[in-house]
Amino acid sequence: MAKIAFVFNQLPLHASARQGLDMLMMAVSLDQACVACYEGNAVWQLVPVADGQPDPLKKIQMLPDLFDFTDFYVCAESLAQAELNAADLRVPVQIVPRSELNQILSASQHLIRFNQSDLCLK
Amino acid sequence: MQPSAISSQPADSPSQSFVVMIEHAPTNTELGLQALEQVRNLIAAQHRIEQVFFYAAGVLYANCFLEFPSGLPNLQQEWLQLSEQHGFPLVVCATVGSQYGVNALPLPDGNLQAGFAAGGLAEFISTLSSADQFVQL
Repeated sequence: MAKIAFVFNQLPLHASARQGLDMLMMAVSLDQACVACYEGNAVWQLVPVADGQPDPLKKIQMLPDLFDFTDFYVCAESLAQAELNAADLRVPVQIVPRSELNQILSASQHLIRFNQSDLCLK
Repeated sequence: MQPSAISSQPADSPSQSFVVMIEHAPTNTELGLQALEQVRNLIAAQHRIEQVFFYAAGVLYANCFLEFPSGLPNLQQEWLQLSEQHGFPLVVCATVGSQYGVNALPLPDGNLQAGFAAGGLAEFISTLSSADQFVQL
């Protein structure tokens, strides 16, 4: 069972994407059992960015490379809707149906959602 | 947001420790009042608040120049009073604070409101890892 589940559902340039990644990386570096879940538009957070384009999430690569973190879960329906597959993503992920993703989330002790729809209005 | 985490607690459940994360901007009066009410309810139910952590747009609560329009409650002042009365810390993420113009030093070097502590994600994660419950508003 994961101690902390991080849930993302916004596009890569949304502030919540970077804020959540910072928190996830701190939790992983402190040896907390974490899962990182991506649904909706957040699947785009996992797609490599072309050189010269803004990439606030570039350091996500450190999670598998330096911390051996492999608990990335991606909603299969969201990935299909974006017409992406695992080979398009910059980190190794486990693709799971939404129902399984929900089970992973409900089995976690703490759930932190990075889905602020609009940080200014919220 | 997980308000259900609170309402699902039976009234006679044993005291639990809570970490609260505030991510809405102080201009969101409705969420601001909800958050204060939830924390007051938790305290009334004998739960312990380990930390209120201000992240995302919530860091704006820690700006000492924050003002509220007439007719609306001063939510910053309410957090300060609640924190003082019940002895829990108000911690603002220093890194994210700087992205919203909150410099985590008191006047005159920065604009951190007295009563708020500048903290890091490490402190938040370690507090969270030993807490029973987490609430996000």
